[in-house]
Amino acid sequence: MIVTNTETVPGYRVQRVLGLVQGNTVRAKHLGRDIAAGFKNLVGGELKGYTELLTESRREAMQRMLAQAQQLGANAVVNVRFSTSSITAGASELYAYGTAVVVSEGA
Amino acid sequence: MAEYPDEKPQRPDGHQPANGPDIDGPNPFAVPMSYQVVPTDDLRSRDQSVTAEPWLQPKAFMPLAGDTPGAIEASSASGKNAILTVADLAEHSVWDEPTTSSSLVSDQDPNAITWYGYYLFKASQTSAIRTWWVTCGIVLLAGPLAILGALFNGYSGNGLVMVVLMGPTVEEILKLAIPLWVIEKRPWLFSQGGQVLVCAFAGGMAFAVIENWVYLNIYIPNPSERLVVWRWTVCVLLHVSCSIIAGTGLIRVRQQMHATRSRPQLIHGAGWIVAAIVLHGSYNLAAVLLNDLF
Amino acid sequence: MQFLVALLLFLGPLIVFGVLIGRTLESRHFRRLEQHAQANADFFVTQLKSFPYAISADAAKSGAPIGAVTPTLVCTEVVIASDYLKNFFASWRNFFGGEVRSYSRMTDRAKREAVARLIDQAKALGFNAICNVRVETAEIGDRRKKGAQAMASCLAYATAYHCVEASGRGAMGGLTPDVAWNG
Repeated sequence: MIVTNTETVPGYRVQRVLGLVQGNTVRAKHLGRDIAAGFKNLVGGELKGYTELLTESRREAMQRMLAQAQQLGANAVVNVRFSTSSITAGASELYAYGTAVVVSEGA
Repeated sequence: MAEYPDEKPQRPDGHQPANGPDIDGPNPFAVPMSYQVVPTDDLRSRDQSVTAEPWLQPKAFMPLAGDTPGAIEASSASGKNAILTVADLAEHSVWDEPTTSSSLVSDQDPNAITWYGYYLFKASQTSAIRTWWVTCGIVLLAGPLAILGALFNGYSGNGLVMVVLMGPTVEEILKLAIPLWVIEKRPWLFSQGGQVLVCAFAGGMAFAVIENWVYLNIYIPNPSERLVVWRWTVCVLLHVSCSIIAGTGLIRVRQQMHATRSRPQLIHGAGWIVAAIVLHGSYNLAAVLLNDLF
Repeated sequence: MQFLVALLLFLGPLIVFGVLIGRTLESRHFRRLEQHAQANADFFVTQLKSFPYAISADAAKSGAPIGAVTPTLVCTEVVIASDYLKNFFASWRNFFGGEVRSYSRMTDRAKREAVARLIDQAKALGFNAICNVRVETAEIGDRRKKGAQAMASCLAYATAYHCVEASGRGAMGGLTPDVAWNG
């Protein structure tokens, strides 16, 4: 699957636009991670647990978006955008959306 | 770096989807859609490297357009580690999105994964006997729920609002709590509307029996014979008919699910459930007023 | 009273020690980001929607591995924690108003680190440019809740592609990650 956050893909021609595809997820880390994050506040620095949380959420949302594109018979998703919001402590919502298209080689 | 083959993606089972990507000629850039399930850890791991991204996975399990729920479930049955189970796909199906205009995509494959298609698949997998077993189970669980309802009534006082509004609402919802959950989350566990009515009848009966027992033994230690007869006829009838009315609402939800080929929405049965609550509440109100009068 | 003194004796050094370590780590992080920017000076970063100086697919195909030719999305996330001194300064600033420098340094760290990782990921796939860089502030937890942890979290994404070497880019080729992100 070709995935970009631009509207076009160099070297390819968009043959058909299939429509909006999207995926979202709300994930949380277990309490231990939240407590560890609290301790990290003593010195500051990267909160690896929360970084992982975002990575997992994004991959899951993307997975769902890609499955939708596949169902439509697309071979590329262009103009991908992400959006996030906080639901409750320690949880994050991640929403990925893009346009499913069929592209073929050639400018 | 993964080596991408030049030919169109082939699947080991030789299945050719009816409605696959329509691209002229070979597309060397397309990621081959292997029919293999990558363990969940591979994609949701702590691996922060770019090669773990789902769209760069040559072997990530992706359904093809035209795959039936059965084919997907068979392929992902190999482990609980499947990234996308058929239930997950049905939950997030693109065909149920309001944005998927039929003018933009080719004609929808009859096998395309939609929530309703998944329902039909699960329904075909669930035998009639199993659905009756589920009905039996719900009937048996009506008793404990009725005790819960009686406890709630016992602890929440005798105010007019409580008796006329809160009590009936909680009771009517508790009577149908399990069928409600089944209809909304696992509708294929009922094969016919009659089973919902059986559950509703059992719920009403259980509540009536428990409530009568509580009233005639605990609240009123030495009831008159007239009260006993009244409670075992009119009150039982009231509980059962309210429950059946609310159950009819659930059947309505099921009918709408079939009619619109979409997931069940409780709002379609809300009118019936409210009617049951109102009937129950007005009986309670009448009982309170008559008690005060005489 | 004795308890309070004991608490102060116990917590005071802990907080001071933590803040000192935090300061050291922060300046070390900025130094590392600086080095990263210098090492990747010829890596082409833009937030344009087009693909400036892109090599045509045909030209790139000869030689380059196939997977590396088709532009692809790259994403990174970074969450940076605040520390107690920062929170203290912030509450001070909240009273008097003005820029909360300690917090802007924290968000700057998160954003620059996220873009640095984007560059690393694109390089790992064999690309030499990214375009359409978008930085989204991610939210973890409930901001409205009082006493919630202060942290800077961001999600950055961009499209990685192949562009001509730095020497062929002309005047515009002078754009480096450094220029784009010294906010």
